[in-house]
Amino acid sequence: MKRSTTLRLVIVGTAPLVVGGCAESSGEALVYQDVASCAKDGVVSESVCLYQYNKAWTEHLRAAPRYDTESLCELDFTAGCQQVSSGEYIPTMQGFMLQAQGSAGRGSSFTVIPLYLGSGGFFRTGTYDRVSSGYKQGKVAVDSKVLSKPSKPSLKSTTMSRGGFGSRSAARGSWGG
Amino acid sequence: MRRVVSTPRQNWVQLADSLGFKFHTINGAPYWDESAYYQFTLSQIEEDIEAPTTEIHQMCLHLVERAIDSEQMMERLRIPDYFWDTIRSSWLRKDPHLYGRMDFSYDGQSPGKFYEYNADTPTSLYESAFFQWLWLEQMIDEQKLPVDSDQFNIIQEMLIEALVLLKKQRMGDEPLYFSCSEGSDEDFGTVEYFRDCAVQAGLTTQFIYTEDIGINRQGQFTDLNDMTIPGLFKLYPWEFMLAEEFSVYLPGSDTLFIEPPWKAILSNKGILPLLWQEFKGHPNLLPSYFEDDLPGDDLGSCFVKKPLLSREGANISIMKSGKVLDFAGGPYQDSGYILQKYHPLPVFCPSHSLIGSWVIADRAAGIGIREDCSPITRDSSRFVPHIIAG
Repeated sequence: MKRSTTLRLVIVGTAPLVVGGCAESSGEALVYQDVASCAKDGVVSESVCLYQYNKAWTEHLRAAPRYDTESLCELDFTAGCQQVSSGEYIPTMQGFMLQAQGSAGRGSSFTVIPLYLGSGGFFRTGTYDRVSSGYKQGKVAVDSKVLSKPSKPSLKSTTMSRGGFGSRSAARGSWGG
Repeated sequence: MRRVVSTPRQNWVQLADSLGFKFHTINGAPYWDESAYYQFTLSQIEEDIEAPTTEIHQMCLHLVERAIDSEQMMERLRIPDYFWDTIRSSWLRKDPHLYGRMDFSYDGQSPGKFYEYNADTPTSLYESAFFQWLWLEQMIDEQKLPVDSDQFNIIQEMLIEALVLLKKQRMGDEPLYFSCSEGSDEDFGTVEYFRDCAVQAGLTTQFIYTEDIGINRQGQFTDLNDMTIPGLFKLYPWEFMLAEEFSVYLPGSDTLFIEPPWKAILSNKGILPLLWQEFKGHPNLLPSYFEDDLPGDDLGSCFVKKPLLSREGANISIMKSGKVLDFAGGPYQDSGYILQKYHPLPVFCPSHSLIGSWVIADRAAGIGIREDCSPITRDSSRFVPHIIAG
């Protein structure tokens, strides 16, 4: 096969959506920053980590909280809100939480929720429920301790002038290549 | 390789509109054209397009390696000398590159001939990588094409992979800014598509118009919120940037540019004679010379005259025995010229067709085909999808 088997678009146009589950949070959950930390913890296998991470990512793109401006978004969530094609801003996914479905302990199926870093360094869900401290990995009781994660996307400065690039486009019309 | 007439999907216009493909029709003329497709065999794709693309890309990298240490070559390419060190360090630092498109004239039988390398700001990415792929998936779903039909197209997949690597090796959680000039649906669509892939790769992204980029007291580029720009994907050619006011800040800038400065060497038509010097007789290369050099006999009396810096077929003339046979007008008159032996595009009734072969990072990743009624393809050429069968 010389072509990709699946492709998707996530911000361009009105791409088809994959709907994730929604969860009641109670008791214990597994919280990880990424696939590597999930796999390292060893509670679930690496392939499950990857699969769940991708599910969280899809859910993030579908249901991340949306803000009209970047500054509003960054009031709630630290570091790096991103603009989507609608013009709105969403926070950057910083982790994911797994909860075993049903009342059984460690089942083979999970509900997965994308996590964001809220101001104060807590992992928070898209609805701003506090989950755990930003650096705690693995098994957590929902609602636990505080820990901050400093991350600055770029530096604030003072702009002296603009418009020093882009003059040729109008003069030359279409170019591309 | 053949051209097959085909019935367009009924809803393709609405589909294109809803998927961010706003430039399917340009200035009232069709650009995306699925009333036909090109059919290749697997060996035509693998042996005649994929392999030469990989090889020529490697030959081009070899040229960059030589050019960064050769003032004479940099002068030949008319790259301003204040930028030489920037190019050199961007190459030595291995600044990542994401994409480029090689144009080939190929008729399905004789070796494809390499026309040029759009290595800095190639057009037609979205339609090659995504919309063409979707077309085939849907044609198979609707049983208009056999289930074993295939396509040479892992462009988007490879692009996301390259962007994941970019995040891992360079960007981390720093925002990568995507920029293009104001006022072009096509450019904006392409940049948004690129940003989409970046988001899928986990990168933090921002958008800024080229015209809105600012400069701070420390000589660093800034966004509209006065934040410094750690990484900038620019759908705006290096040679334009080098001729503009802010060019003086480029050497001292900390911004990671994509495509990187060293791509300014490859997007220049001067690499065509340089390649011919270095790899004379290569089956996929056409004899090429700088206009102000003495041409070899292999150029023949029928050749194409191209500006060192030009796009979309602009300012290209086809010469025969000293007379101009065909000419495409345009604004690029100030950069010097190269001469390339004339090797006409194959005619698949009723069109001349040009194969654009995509290089993602360092890998041949897929093709897109442009058709034109004229032997010089330009920005009005139609994009026609392809399949692999048999």
